[in-house]
Order: sequence, then C-alpha cells, then structure tokens
Amino acid sequence: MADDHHIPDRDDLLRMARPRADGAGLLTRRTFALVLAEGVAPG
Amino acid sequence: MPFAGKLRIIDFPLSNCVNSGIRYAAVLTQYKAQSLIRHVEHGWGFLAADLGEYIDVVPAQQRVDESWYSGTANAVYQNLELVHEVDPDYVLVLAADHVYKMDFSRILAEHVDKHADATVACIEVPLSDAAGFGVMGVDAQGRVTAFVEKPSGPNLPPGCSARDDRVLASMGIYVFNTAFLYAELERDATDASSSHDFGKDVIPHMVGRHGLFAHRFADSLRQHGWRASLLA
Repeated sequence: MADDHHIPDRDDLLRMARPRADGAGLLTRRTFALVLAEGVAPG
Repeated sequence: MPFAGKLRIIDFPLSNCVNSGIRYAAVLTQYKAQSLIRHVEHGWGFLAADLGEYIDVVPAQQRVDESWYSGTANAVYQNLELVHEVDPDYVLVLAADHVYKMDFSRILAEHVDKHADATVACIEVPLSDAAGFGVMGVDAQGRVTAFVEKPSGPNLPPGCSARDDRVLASMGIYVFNTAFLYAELERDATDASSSHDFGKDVIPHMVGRHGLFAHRFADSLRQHGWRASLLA
C-alpha cells in the first residue's frame, strides 16, 4: 500500500494475500496452519 | 491415508499451504502416526528452517493434563503453546483427510475484508449428502446464521435451506483471528457439556454471538470416505 493512511479495499487485501518474493506484509505469512491428522478426533 | 502409491492425502492440505504462501504449519497427530511422521519429515523437509519456515509434526503430548485429545478443538487447545510461539495474526485449521486444491489467500482476504472473528470454508453438496457434513445457513452478507454438524433425520435443521436440492456444507476449514481463537477455546474447555469439537461445539456456539462468516469455495473436494468414487 502506498501510505499508512490508505484504507485497504478488497483488491489490496487480495494483493496482500498472495505470496511475493519480498515476503513482507502478507496475510498468508501472518498465518499459522494447524493440520489435524486422522485420529485426532475420536469417532 | 495413502494416495496414488507414494503420496498421502495429507499432501493435499500441505501443498495448498505452501502454494498459498503459508510457511508455518504443524500437523497434530494422535494414534498410530509413525508412518505419517516419517512421510511428512521426509517429504516436506525442504522449507527453509533458517528463515523460520517449517512443517512440524506434533504427536499428542498431554501438555494440559493427562487426557488424550477429546475432539478437534481440544487438540488445538492442547497445542496453543505452538500458536503462542509463532504469534500469528490468523490461525488456519485444516483436516488432513481432504483431497482438494485451494488458494488459502482467498479465504484469508475475505476473512479480513469482512472483519470476521472466524470464517468457515463451504461448498454446495447434494441434499442427499447433507448428513455427512456440517450444514449451514447464511444471510446475504455471508454471515453464518445456522450451523449443524452432520444432521440426522430426513429434514434439514432450522435455518438451513436447500436450493435446487443442494445445501451449503462446511469443508472443515476454519480461519480464526488468533486472539479470538484463544478466547473461544478457553471458553469451550470449561464447558462441561461440550465434546470439544469444532464442528459440533465451537462453530455452532459462535452462531449469533460472534462474527462467523462463510467463504464459498467453488472447486472440487472429496473426503477420503469417498475415495471409491474418486478412483472410479
């Protein structure tokens, strides 16, 4: 985003969400995934 | 669950993570996990550990008390320390037994755009398959207004409607704001009536109380229980 006062719109959010080479400011890079293997949930 | 010879179904969610740009993931296991541990360590060890990227396999460790995981939410609750260590803004909870291709950046973008507390990925399934899923009702803004896990009986639960004999079903993929996840799992852990499962307890409890939204996924998904049709 161009400056700190810019309110992100949907396009900005999608851009932020995609991986980029510099790895900065990405939604996915601010996300931790927990994968629940079979057997974690009874039944 | 093996898939196509040397692969396992867990490779699908892990591949989706890496291709979406998610570089920190933990696989929570409980029973008979040795071959899964070996597979993930051998097949997914290419991430740059020196840059803090990793996929860890975490066996059940009875960190909180002496009980094993009593449900999916309890599994995450018993591993909140892992989340604390990473200190992410968002936590993505996935099942290991789904075959699909999904760009998680899209559900994350929608989650942030809607100022959601939590977002559930969903697909339309035939009404006849509803009993195998968490069935949902949503309003025009995508807010979840009803959620019933694996409904029994011939009729749909209140608030869940079918259109053209199709219903909206949860994919068992959840995005949470991290602070909200902590609070909800702490609350659920003290609820004696809960089975500590995301689909049965945590997600239904959020309906009407918190910002729970649905993200519509338009691609294919198969749970491993459908593998016969998958391989046909």
